[in-house]
Formats: sequence, C-alpha cells, structure tokens
Amino acid sequence: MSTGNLDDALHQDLDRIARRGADVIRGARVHAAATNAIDEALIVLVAVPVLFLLFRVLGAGEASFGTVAGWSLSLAALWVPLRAAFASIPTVARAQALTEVDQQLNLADRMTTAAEFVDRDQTPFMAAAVADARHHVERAQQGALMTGSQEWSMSRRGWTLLGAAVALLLVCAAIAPEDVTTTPPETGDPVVVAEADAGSGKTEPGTKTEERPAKEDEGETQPTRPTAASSAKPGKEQAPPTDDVKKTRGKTGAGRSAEAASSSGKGQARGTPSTQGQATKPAKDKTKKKEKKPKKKKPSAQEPDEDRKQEDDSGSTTGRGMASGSNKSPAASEWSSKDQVTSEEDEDLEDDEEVDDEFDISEARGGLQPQLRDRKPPVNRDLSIGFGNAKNPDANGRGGPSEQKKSRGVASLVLGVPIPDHVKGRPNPGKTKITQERVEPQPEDLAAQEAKARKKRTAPVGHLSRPELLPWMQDLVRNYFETLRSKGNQP
Amino acid sequence: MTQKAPNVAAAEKQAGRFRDVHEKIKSEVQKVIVGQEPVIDSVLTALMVGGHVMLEGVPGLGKTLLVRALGEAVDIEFSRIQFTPDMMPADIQGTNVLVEGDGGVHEVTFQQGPLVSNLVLADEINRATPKTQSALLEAMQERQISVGNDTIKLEEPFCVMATQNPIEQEGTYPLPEAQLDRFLFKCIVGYPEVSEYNAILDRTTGTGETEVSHVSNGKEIMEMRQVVRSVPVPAHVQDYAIHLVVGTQANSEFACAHVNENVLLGSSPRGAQGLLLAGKVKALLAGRFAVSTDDIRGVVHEVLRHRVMINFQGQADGVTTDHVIDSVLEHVKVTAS
Repeated sequence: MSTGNLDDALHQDLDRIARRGADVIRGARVHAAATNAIDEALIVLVAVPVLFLLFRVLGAGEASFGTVAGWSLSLAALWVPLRAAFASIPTVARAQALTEVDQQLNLADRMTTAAEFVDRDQTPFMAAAVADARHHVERAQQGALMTGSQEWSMSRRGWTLLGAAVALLLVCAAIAPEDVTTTPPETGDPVVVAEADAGSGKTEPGTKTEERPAKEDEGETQPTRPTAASSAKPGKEQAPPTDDVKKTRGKTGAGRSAEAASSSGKGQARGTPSTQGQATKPAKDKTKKKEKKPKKKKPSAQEPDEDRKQEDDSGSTTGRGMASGSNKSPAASEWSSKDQVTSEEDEDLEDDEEVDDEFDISEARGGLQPQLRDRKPPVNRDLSIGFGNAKNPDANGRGGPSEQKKSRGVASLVLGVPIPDHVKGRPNPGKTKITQERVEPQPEDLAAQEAKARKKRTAPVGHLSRPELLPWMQDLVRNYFETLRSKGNQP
Repeated sequence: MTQKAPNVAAAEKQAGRFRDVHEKIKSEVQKVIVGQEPVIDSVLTALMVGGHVMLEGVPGLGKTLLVRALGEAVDIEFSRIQFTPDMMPADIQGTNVLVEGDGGVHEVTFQQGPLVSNLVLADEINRATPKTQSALLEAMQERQISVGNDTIKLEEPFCVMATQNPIEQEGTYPLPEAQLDRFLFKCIVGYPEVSEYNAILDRTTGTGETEVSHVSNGKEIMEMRQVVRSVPVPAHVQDYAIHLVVGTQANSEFACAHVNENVLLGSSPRGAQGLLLAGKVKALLAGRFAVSTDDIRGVVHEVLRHRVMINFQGQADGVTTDHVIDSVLEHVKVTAS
C-alpha cells in the first residue's frame, strides 16, 4: 500500500475519531449547560415570587398563587432544555475533538499530531510520528470515552436557592388572594358560599378565621365604627365575585390590615394589639388552607370540625399566642382596649409574658411577608414626654410614650408611660392618668459680663505649707537678715 | 530537508540510538549514584540539548558526585570549580600571564582557567561574589569567554552544572536573575528513599571501588543534540508551551489570579525554549517522534521554577515557585484549532 493510500486511510480514521471526540465534547457541553441551567432555573424560581411580592407591595397588581407558581415552574422547567439545546449547537473543531480523544485515552497527542503532520511535507520524524499514530488509531476508535462527570449534585448555592424559592412560594401562597378562576366549577361561586357559611357559623376554615373576629369586635365593642372590616359585611358579601370583591376579600383576609385601619389609622401594616392577636389566627389558618387546598374546593360540614380539632390537638403556642395577643398585651391601654373582645379562647390563656414572642412565631408560621413589617416607620427611641395629651405622631408602640404600647423592657418602665394593670384576662380595668407636659425651651436675655481684674483677697488664705529648712539653711537665712538689719536694711 | 517519501526507518534508527546512548550513560552514572533517577534524567537531558543545570540540595546528597560521574561516563574534559567568596573572575576564566619563552624572551600569554572545559562543575556557586558569578554569563550563553582582547571559543559540548545549598545562606550571594535564566533546569535533589540507603552504604563503606568507564564521547553527544533538534513540535504543543510561559507572567493573558497575586517576575522566552528542547528529549525517551503536551508538563517544573520570582506578598504567604507553576498548569488548558 502506497503512502498516499495510507494517508487517505488515516484521514478517514481521523475523521471518525474526530466525530467521536466532537460527540464527547458536545455531550460535556450539554451536561455542563444543563448543570448551570438548573442553578439559573432556581434563580428564576426565586425571582418570579419576588417580583410578585414586589408588585404586591407597590400595589401594582395582584396575581393568584397559581399564576405565580405556574410562571415560576414553567419558566424554570423550560430554561434547562433550552440551555442544553443551545449548548449543543456550536461546532467542535476537528483538532479540538482529536485532542479530547488523545487526552481521554492517554494517546500523548498522537491523533492531533498525526492530523497536523499528515497533510504537510514530512521530515523523517514527522513521518515516523504519523506512522506511530497509525498504530494507535484502533485504540482511538474503540476506546471508551467519558462524556464527563455524569453525576449531578446540587451546589450549596443551589440548595439555598431552592429553599428560598420554596419559602417565597409559600409566602406567595399565604398572601395571594383567592384564585377564583381556579375554583372548580362544581363549587359554584366560592365567595358566596364561603361567606354564607361564615354567616351561618359553619364557615370554611380560611374564611372563618379571617372574618369572624372582626365581626365580633364590631358587634360587641364598636358597632358603629366604620372599618375596613366592614367590607365583609353581609351587604357586600352578597355582591358577585368581581375583581373588586376579590380585592376586598384579599384585604379582609389579611385580617389585621382592616383592624389596623380601624384602631389606629396607621396603615395596613400596623394594627392594634387586639387585632394583632386576631390576625395571627388567619395567618395560621392560611397555612392550613394552603395545605388543604383540594379539600377547600368542596366545603363540607366536617371540615371546620377537623380544623378545630387540629387546633386543639396542636395545643401549640400558636393558638395561645393568638389569644393572649388579643387581650393581655401590655399595650392594651384604655383607648386600645375598646377594640378588644374577651373570647372563650382568650380566657384559656395564662401566659402573659410570651405575648410578643408568640405573636412573632405565629406570624412566621403564617407566612406573613417580612416586607410588610419592614414598611413600618423606624423605631422611635425618643423617651421624652413631649406631646402632652396629643398622640405621638411617630408612635409605633416600640418605645417611648405611645398609645400602642405593646413592648416590654426598659421603655415600659419609664415613668409616664402608661402601663396597664392586669387582672387576669382583663386589660387595664382601672383608670390610668397620664400627665404629660411639654415645655419648650424659651430664650432669655442675659447681660454679658465683662472681664475684670481680680479683687484683693479678703478671705483667709488658709493653711500654707512651710517646708522645714535644714539647720544650715536656717543659719544662712538668720545671718542674712541680721546682716541686713545691721546695715540699716541696705543689701 | 523535507521530502515527500520520508525515511521513517532513519528516524526510528536515530531515535533508537539516542535512547541507547542515554541509557548507557545513565547506567554508568547509576553505578555510583543510588536513586535520584529524575535528577539523573534531567542532567542527561541538559547534556543532550546543550543546556546547563542547577542542582540544589542539602549537603551529602551526591550532587557533586553525580556531575563527576557524568564527566567520567562521557569522555569529555571535565573541570571542577569550588566557588569561594574571595574568588575573582580571572580565577575561573583565566588571565594573561607573563611567560618567559625560549631565549629569555618574555611574552604575555593567556593562561586559561577551569571554565575552559566541556563539563564544568561549579560547586556551591552561590558562595562566589556576583562579580565572579557574572563571569559565567558569557560562557553559558555565548559559549565563549573574553579576557582582555582575547575571545576564546569554548569547545562543544559545553555544559555548566552548578550546585548550591539551600541552607547556610550566611556568606552566600544569591544568583542574579540573568544568570539563573541561563540554566535550563533547576533540579531539587532530595533525600534518598529508605530502600536506597542500603545500597548507598554498601557502595561507599566497603573496600571495593566503583569505576565509571567512558561509554560515550563529545562527538556522540553532539550527534545526539542534532537528533533532539530533529524532533518536530506540533503547533498545539508549541502554543501550549507558550501559554504556560506567558501564564507565569503576572497580569498577562494566561495568568491566573494566583500568579497575579504572588509573582513579581515571570519566565522569559528562554523558558519556552527550554520547555520545547526538554520536551523533545522526553518524547524520544518515551519512544515517540513528536513532542506532546504530556512531555511539556513533565519538564515544566524543572524548566520554569528558577525563572519565576515570587513577590513579597507571596514570600510572606509561603508561596513557592512550584505552587505557582502548579496553578499555571491547572489554569492553562490545551487548545487545538
């Protein structure tokens, strides 16, 4: 066989080997791209709920949980195959493919070298290198090539993103409005059904926990006060489930937003202590509602019982937190206690000291978004008595005199801060008299004092130390003065 | 040179002869040196490509003995220079002396120093002053020495094998970078293996004396150098060597973060020359006819470790040139196009 034929055969062999190498490189690229795409998909999983929350905070729009979850999952699921497909598109250079084969099969660059030398004018050593490569062609064609690490393990960042995505989706599920469009047709109008149940005392769990406390408050303590919770009154409950109704229900579902508006008017992120306690209940129930979503679609008489049973069984601090938060908050002063209602559940609670902590825990369990809390004004550390009987415009109940005192600690011990007396379950039965006076500093005229010479001292000088002189010093002084006197005081 | 129908057999014969010569010399050297096979290979490689070698190791590891054995195994002129702090350049290069000739005529003639030889052992080279060390510069690079108006061409093969002690730095003068760069290899001579101690003791404490015979000569060494230079280097291997050298230069295109942080001075192009020449020997000894990237990787530490200077931060952090080279090897990938 002539050299030319040998070279042609080697060409073909090298082409085949290059195709093998290219497949390996492409497979590795796809694998790497898919691995990276999974991390990126997790970012998408996080980003979509974050955007949803952002829009919700800005009031730019609302979307149901199903929409958010659907977008997140579908975008994430599409991203991985798309990236993998794009990664396989670029062509692989022949030399690069041969190098890959050489490296994987430990061929010491024989294939790459042969591919370079076979087309050139060859020196004896080049020809020898090509001939040497022919002996290894079979190995290059049949050797097992690895595409790369087939094992996939999620990075720590990936796990973090996954956890964040799940948490954000839970938050979205907790705060997202009812998805009317996703309600199965057999349930009919879920709003009407749910609220009708609420009126009859057999409400569906989520609806019950959101609306019942507000109604009780209004009925027993402030029946005429116009509140946002009144949007859940029967007159409006009968309205068709339009978008407006959905929005109203969403706010009412938030529970404490409405109460906050009724008691302090500080916005929906804040509420009076009594409503906060009540708000924990919907928060908790929202979680349950999310867990039992399929059952929620077909309301039955057993569900409230089961739900209540779960509450009883849990005996958890969440339930206690709700009740104690409503009645026994130290901030329950006389003006805030009007909103409070002592319920049977509240009377079961005894722990006064864990009110705030349990409230926080229940909030966390309820999945309330932290952004709402972040929107509170900064904590006022001003402990001065400066507003008289007027309300502190910066009062937020977190220190200093305020009408919504609900914290413990040093600020509560400062005189002048209303500290309600606690008789078991009844906040502030006595009258607390607060006298606050604000004294503005007034400028006064004062004549400037001019600098003067110091007057002669009239008062006794006091004890002056007289150091003891040594004998020779005393003699010296004595002699000096005797000499001075003898000369008629002339030195 | 190139031909359409190349004589593969001729190349195979030359490569086979190269391996034979290498093996013969190595066997003779190993009669007196136990173990240290990588160091012996490096020394022989330097001899085959015309490079110089710096041997660094603590006392008693056989550095001097290795070079002496090599000088005896190859029938070439061998000289040894024991560097001392009071040594002057004339002591190694030679100088003009007044000589009385026939008939009482006095004339100034050049009296050559020990540097005029084929294989020069510069023992403890860092004990000489930089002035004397620099006297080696011209000899190592240009293969000639200039004394007064005379320029003496050194006979090939010419090879300087220097030793230095990494400890006992008092009273020593670190070699200038320009001189270090002229060494093809810097070999670290380590302690022998435990299993090698018996052989060392048997050979050195008995009554018998080991004789090293001449198995090669200068002419054959020069032929081997031609064989080495005939080995082709594929483009991607040459690119890889260049990228490795450039990768040791801080803030260069192929430098990694480790290099940028810790390297004051990277390798010169002499480093790339050394990589290719040493890689060719490596390929021949492996039975191949072209240099591969594996060959380059196999010699990169010996070739580049003395050409990289660590900056103050790196020295404070305990970074060595071998660490830097490892990071460069990890960072620079083979690219074939």
